[in-house]
Amino acid sequence: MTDRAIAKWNRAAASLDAGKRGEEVRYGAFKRELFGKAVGKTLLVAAGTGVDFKYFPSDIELTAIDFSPTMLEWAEKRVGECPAPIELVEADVTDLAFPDGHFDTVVTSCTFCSVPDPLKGLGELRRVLKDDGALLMFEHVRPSNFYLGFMMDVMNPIARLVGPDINRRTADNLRAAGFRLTREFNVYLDMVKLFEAVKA
Amino acid sequence: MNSDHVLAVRAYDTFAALCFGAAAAVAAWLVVPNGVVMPLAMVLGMTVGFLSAFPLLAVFTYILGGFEIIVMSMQIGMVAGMVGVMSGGDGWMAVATVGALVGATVHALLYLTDRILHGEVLGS
Repeated sequence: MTDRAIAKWNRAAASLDAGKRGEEVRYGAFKRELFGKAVGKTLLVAAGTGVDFKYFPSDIELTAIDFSPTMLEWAEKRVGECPAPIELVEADVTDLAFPDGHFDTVVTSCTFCSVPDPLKGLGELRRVLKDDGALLMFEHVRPSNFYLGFMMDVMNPIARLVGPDINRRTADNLRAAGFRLTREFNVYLDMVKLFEAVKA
Repeated sequence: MNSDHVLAVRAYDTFAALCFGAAAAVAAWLVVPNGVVMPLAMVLGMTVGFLSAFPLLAVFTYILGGFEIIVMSMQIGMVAGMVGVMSGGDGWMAVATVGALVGATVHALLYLTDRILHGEVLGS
């Protein structure tokens, strides 16, 4: 991960929660349903400011990573909201220090819009996931509609200056990284989605 | 979300759509000079409408954001901006009303599209 990307998300930390408030109202129930499926040792990738901690079940061991130290400082304040024991770790999803097959569940929440090399990141998640483990993702992706997709492509250079990419093809990336999709659910249009995947 | 929340969010989104439409149409009507050939005026109107949506997008995102707000701001801004320059010079109130109607229409189309797409694509 580049220093530039880390610096961008360090800067974004203070304002991230303001933009997330509406998303929590709109999509919170979908996240609760998806993240409630986490079992055993669970890895939360890109914890951000910790707004998703409250959606996890109590009977798991949660490890939450983020490459931004400022994000983790904000997330520290929300550790008490997590029903499960939680460990915060500064780590880059494209270069994880965890051993192979370490986690039963890996969870991402609006993560792979921001990872500069999504295939490398997904490859690392595949490596640290057990063979019978599950990947649970809440992500926004490029819409399949020609017009909306084109608009996202046009807007993306502006969007990525201050935040995430808005035209990622995450389903294709999952397959390319060696995952098999077991569930795909449209939350808003075909732009905000839930994915469940296992190793192919 | 419970049903009260759903209704509140829908009302908020509809209000945002009306504001995006009115603001984009008025901005385009004010900025694009009279006498510009219509095809060029329409393109300029789309551009001005699109750009005028950004300040409102920041406000509506801060209050109760979401991808619904982002997508509608882009679509309504462009269409209402284009319609704003086509609607003539009957005063800003008339232009704002036309823009708000455009906003409501685009919002309704996006809502219907979402209802068609929403749900399981694969698995259960």
